[in-house]
Amino acid sequence: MIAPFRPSVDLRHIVRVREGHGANCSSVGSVVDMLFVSAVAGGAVLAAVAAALGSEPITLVGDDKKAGKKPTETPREGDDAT
Amino acid sequence: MRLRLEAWGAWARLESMPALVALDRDGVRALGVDGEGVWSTPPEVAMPVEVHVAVTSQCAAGCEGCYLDARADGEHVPFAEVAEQLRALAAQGVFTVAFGGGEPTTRDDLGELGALARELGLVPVLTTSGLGLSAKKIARLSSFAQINVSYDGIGDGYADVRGFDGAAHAERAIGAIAGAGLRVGVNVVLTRATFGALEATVARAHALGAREAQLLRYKPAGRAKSLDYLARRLSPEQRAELPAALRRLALRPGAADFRVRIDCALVPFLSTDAELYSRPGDLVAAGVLGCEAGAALAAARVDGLLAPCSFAEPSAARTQDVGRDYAADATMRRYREFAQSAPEPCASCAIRAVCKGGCKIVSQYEGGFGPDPECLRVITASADAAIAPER
Repeated sequence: MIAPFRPSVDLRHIVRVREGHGANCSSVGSVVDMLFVSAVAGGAVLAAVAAALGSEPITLVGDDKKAGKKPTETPREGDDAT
Repeated sequence: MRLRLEAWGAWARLESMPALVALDRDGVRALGVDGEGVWSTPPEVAMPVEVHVAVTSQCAAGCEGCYLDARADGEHVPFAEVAEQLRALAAQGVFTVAFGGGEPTTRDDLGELGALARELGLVPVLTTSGLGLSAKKIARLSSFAQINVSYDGIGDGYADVRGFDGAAHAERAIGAIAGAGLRVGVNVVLTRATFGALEATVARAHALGAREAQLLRYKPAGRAKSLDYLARRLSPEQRAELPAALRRLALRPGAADFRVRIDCALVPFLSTDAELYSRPGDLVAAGVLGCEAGAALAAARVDGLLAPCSFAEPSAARTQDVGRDYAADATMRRYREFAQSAPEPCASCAIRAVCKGGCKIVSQYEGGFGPDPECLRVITASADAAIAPER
């Protein structure tokens, strides 16, 4: 399932980056600083993410291989990573 | 990294930097991963990426606005039960578990729970009031990736939110956690009284060693579900001012090593900023998440039931059965389906894809399950329709 070596990930395939761990126990949080800083700073974060994607070992997680155990829903507009 | 295939691609939780990344299918293929087994079958309901785990209902602080109505005589969830929940969440590919309650540091076995979460591949984080947080207790928290201390503000802000002045305790805790070499942040509840001191509060927290501020909208749940809510919530002027305040926080001198985070319920207020509203794609790219209740977010309650979020009513699904019940549960589906197809004025809102209709806890308090009634865009639309509620 996992190739023996890995080509780099083009930045255009990175749909979203949620920075940080967050540690709030009551509602989901999103870092917003990057919305206001320069494109250079934002580009540096993306470059670091791409480098990590290209170098970290991969562990597949989740139960998605057990097709049929969970009911399905037809995705609607907005029901995706964007 | 830990990679979880989704219908649209995959989530990747990086190990070398704290980030959760959404990759499209070609990005996943570029990693050498074949996702066709998932992509060639009908799309399933995605499991949450983050689950808030209430490990106790015990807390002696007695905060007036406690959303869980935690009490001094509350009880801890048995270790074995929390462990079973964590195993179930890990099996479904959940990435982050945020421990709360109640005051989680009242548990002597909290460090062991954090260590277990790590063993299972989860990233455990923690929220605490900081009250009674001794050096001995802090030493047991090394397995947590980040610890957030409730710190609502300098001056009268803390007491306004919680009914007692615990700011000094919180400040000591922030300094002690940072001094122990652990990553610490602060939770700042935004109310009519705390908003004006937001920048000073964040600067103070930063100076004490915090590396992140999580800004939280005050919500009508638990003990905060009273008429006082209407007097404490942000004023319309403050809601309109929020994006500018965020901009000032991001650009203040020395902010490079400090992050500002907003909670899901504050996302609707970004719609008032013309500049942000004009580039919704940037909100997506920055990973901003609005109401993800019952979708990317779920909450494990002390009674073992799952809820769409920590403020919401429980579903019929038990946490340890998340893999079997999450997709089909009616309560979860209700939240998820509203977010997917919110009516006007949300339907035509440029940031709908991230906001997803705003906070349902607020909308239910103010009359029904619908668009966030405190969103200024919703208020304007209501006024245009000659409804003109006083909100």
